Amino acid sequence: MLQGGYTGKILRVDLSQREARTEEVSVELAKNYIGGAGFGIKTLYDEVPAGTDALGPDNKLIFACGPLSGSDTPCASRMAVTSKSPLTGAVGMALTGGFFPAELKFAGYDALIVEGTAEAPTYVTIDGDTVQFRDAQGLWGTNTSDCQQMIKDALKDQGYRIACIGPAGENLSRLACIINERRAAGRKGLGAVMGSKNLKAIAVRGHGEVAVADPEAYKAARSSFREHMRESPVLYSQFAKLGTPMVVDVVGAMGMLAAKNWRATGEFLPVDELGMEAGKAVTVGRNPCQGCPVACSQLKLARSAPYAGIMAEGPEFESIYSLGTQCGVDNMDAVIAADRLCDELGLDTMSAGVTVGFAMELYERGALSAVDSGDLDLSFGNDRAMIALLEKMAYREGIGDLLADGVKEAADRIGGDASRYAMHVKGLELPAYDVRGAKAHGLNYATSYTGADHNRGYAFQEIFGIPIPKEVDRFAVEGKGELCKWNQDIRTATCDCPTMCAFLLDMAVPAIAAENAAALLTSLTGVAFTAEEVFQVGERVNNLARAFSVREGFSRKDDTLPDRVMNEPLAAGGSKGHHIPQEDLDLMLDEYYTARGWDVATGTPTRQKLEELGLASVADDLGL
Amino acid sequence: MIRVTARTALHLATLLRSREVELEVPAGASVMDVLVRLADRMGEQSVPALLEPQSGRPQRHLRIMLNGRDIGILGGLDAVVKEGDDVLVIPPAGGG
Repeated sequence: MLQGGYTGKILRVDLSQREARTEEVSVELAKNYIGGAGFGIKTLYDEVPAGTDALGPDNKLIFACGPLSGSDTPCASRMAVTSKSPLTGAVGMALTGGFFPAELKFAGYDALIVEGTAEAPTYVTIDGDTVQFRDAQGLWGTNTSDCQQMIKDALKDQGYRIACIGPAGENLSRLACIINERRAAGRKGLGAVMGSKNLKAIAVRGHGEVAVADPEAYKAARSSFREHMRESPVLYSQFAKLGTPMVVDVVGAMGMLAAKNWRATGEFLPVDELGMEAGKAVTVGRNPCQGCPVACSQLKLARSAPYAGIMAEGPEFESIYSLGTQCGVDNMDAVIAADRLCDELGLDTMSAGVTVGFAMELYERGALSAVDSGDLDLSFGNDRAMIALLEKMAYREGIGDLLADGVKEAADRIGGDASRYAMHVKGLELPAYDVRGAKAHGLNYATSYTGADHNRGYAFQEIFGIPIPKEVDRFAVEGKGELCKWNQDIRTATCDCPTMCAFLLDMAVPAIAAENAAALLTSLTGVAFTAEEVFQVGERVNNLARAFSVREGFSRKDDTLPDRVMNEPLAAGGSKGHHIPQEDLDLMLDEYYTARGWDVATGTPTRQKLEELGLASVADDLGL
Repeated sequence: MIRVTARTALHLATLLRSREVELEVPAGASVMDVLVRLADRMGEQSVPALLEPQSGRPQRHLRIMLNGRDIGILGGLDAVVKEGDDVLVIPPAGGG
């Protein structure tokens, strides 16, 4: 029986029928999938068959918290948003923090499943048991700040927490995200799914609390976790002060901060302009997520013309790359402005910035003319053109329409050799880490079920030198298959499902992540988890997500990397000379599939592995 | 004597007032020898950020790399440096 952590209820909202009903969370579901990404991917696999139009009424959008969310475990107000991605055609799963996740729990729900399509623009309000479908005609076209404030004003309750889309989602840009407060479920085009459903926003208000099954044991588990946080050499002493922008300096020093569409990594390295000191100079405050004592999120204020007075929550490290170095921009104020603009438009800062950088390279190569660009001078480093282009993408104006669906789609439409310069895996644009200098991280880009996603199997061994489970040579390829599997499974098991901020994994509990999660989950929920069982949930969820991909036609051939990563060694910097040629990728893939118990030739999970994970019915589905 | 490049990041670079310095060390010198030279460059007030005052060894949790590789896999602080080598010292970091 679920005694705590879980509310025990899932809310299902059908926009076509304007109906809502609740379902119970079973102990079996809790035990096998924990929550968060586990609940999302399980629901998606069961309810969204192969070939479903990601932007059609049959796709579903699942907002799922973990049992830790809304509890007083620190750093756990997290939520996984899962759908079939319109950008990749595979599982789209993105996590967000802030206050909405905890509020959904306080309202009485572990998860919210949105299905169908509303006839006209709609927003849904959830106040405990009361679910209402409301007219969003007056909200359509608003940016994400105005939308949230207008809803709070209309409901005469400033305590509502709201997840919404901006113009990018309304216009079905496959780079659209979902924004709650100033946080984003950013990647994989989930905002377009919401837009396709005519769903402008979800407003949630809760008055309950998360129960605790075994208060004494939970208190001990939480105290132990907090002690590990305090003992961290980074978390409070550095990260709480500097936030993610500190990674600019570190990854830059290692020659892995990708620049100018991955052509100038190690050469264009504006650490003075975009790194730690530059970030400190423009930071004016903090904006922590619910229940977070670390408060890494920084408010930054631009001070120079034409951006003076623009404030953003961020930019975080990844956005400093995508809206900075990727576009050849070394002006922090411009990055702040672009970051804020993306948040308001509801555009994923990462994919949008990478797409602008892609357009800049094509412009420079003559594959996009001044006519194509609508007279925008898309030279690298032109921050004003970058900002203008972001706006055009959200509204699908002119060249913006060509680029609104990301680099893969744009390259297909442009033709010629444009795909050589399209930096993506499975349609998802590349994150900041130039993986020519970190091979396990590169293998994760190639194999993550979401496409090129640093968050699904972050190789902190290579990036921060944390020697767990062992010290590795970041340039080596041998042994990286097994390491990549471990990174993916531990992250899924201890962060994406329970749900917990992933920064705590590498900065506080890397050596005991599964044990820590098991102690917290068991004492909080009353469902007994061993560390091994927690870890196996990670493996189960990764296998189920892979099965979803296989069902959609993905196989080993899709587990690849962009041409530039494989065929152009880095020309400068701390990783000079390195790349990931096809033979190295093949070696790592062979190791990875072997470690996963998957068929090495196809990358399909084997019946034996699926049965071991209790997924025999999935093996049946796949005809194994 | 041989010349090597010593690089740092974050607060170590602030203390060094540079992210990169050229250092001369005797042929056959180790990574530890390079760190001692680097400490000299940082100045007396800043040495404890790099080396523990009691032991003279590098502060715990500093990441030390030789030509991009963690020294733990290269023989540790005793690893021998060559002309033109690159020694990188990074304070503990996370996030991103």
